[in-house]
Amino acid sequence: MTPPKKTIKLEDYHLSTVLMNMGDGIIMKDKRRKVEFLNQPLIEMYGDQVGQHCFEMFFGRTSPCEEDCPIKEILENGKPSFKHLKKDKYGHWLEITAVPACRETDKPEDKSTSVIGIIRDITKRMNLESELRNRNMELKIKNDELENFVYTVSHDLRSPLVSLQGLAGALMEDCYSQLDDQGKEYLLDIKNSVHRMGLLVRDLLDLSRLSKAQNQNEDVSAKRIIQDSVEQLTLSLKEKNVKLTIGEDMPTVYCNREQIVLALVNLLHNAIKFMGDDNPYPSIAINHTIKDNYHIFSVQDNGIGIEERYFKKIFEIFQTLNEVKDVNSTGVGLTIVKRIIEGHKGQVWVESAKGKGSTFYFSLPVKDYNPLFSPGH
Amino acid sequence: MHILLIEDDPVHIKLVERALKKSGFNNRLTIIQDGEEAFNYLLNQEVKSPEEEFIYPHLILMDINLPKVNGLEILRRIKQSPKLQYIPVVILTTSSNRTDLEKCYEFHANSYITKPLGYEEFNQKIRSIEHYWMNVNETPY
Repeated sequence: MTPPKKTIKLEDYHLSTVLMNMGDGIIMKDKRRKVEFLNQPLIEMYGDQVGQHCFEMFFGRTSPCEEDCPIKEILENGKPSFKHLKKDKYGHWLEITAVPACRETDKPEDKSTSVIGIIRDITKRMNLESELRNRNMELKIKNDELENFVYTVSHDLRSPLVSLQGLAGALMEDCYSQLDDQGKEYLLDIKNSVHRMGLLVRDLLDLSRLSKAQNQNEDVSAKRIIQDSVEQLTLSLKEKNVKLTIGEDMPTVYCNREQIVLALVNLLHNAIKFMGDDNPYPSIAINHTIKDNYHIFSVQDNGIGIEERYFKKIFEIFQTLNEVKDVNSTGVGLTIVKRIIEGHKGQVWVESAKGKGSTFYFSLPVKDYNPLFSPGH
Repeated sequence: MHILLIEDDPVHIKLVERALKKSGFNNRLTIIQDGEEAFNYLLNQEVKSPEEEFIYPHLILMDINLPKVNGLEILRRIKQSPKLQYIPVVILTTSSNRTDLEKCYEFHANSYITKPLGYEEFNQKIRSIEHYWMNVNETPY
């Protein structure tokens, strides 16, 4: 049924108002690529080019684009083309959608008579994207430079440290008895300071290595990770007479084994260090649970505990609590833990109260679970 | 028995010498402080008289960060030389860099040892090196 004439007129008026005032450009052209209609945005960009060829108007060409023509498909077989990207003669980036100007009921031979093009000038977006890419590249280069710098510095520092430790050791061996009490004290201070510097350099190297090692995840038994970590601390655990309990039914986790061992060693080392000298029953418990697609591991101790106001600070680099004077403390350990766990898309946190021990938790996503695509993470 | 030490740090040379002496090594120790000199010493030997006959080292202890010619290059050339290839080369370095470690084994180093920071550990490692390569290991030379 044909609509009444008045309705058609009203629709024409509305349609033409929309066409002339919309942000995107609209072009109609015939099958010889001659422009039949341009809306206001396109007139403002290219002038009134009705009657001209589209390839001339957009690209300053004297013949149709041989390849990469957004309307070729339509003219050949009536198929529309969506979001075709092309640069015009003025350097504007155009996003072109071209559809046949016909109804679905038209015969195939009529489908390619004329074409409607919707032209969006995305130059600003493309420039911004390009700037963002360049900035990201620059940032990556700077970041790599910084990491390499830390790595090289920490590395080159090892050599004079070997010398200092060696000479101090030789001096102790050969001349210790010839020194007076003050001299002996100074020599021990030198040895301790160099030892501390050595630990600092070692931790900084560990930290800088974390960024270099990527994509080395594998299926590893958590039991094995715990065994490897505990093995490295056997002496310290014995020295402090710590009772260690490990939960049963440990899972297999998908992770960088070496890194998670390093994280656990740091957490255990921390627990041993802050056990308290007068603790009659020092104990550490390692447990595991699973929650919302995350393995949650916990390292619980009955040591001196941490006040809540330090919960965030302890994970920052070079931050140590003054509760325990320890020459082996560098303030890098928990930063390493945080970097490792966050590198695995997990989290690390602590629950503690002064005098009541601490529980450090870290989470690791279960295999094939990507937290980035999960709501509410 | 002859050990060739290729090391540019004068203090590290003193420490290795001291540790070797402490471990009971009283034989010949040749010290070379840069890569080029090491290269000439090992690869451009000209025998002038029977008395001056070149005695191939039984062990090469070598750092990799050396002036003039890099230690890795020296290692590569040693292992490519038919005359030198069987001399055990022990890399003794402060570098714990994985790339250095892998590169050294790629170029057929016989051992890779990181210099420890502690004095006692340093002596212990040199003692182990000396004992194994001088007393336990056998070479064609």
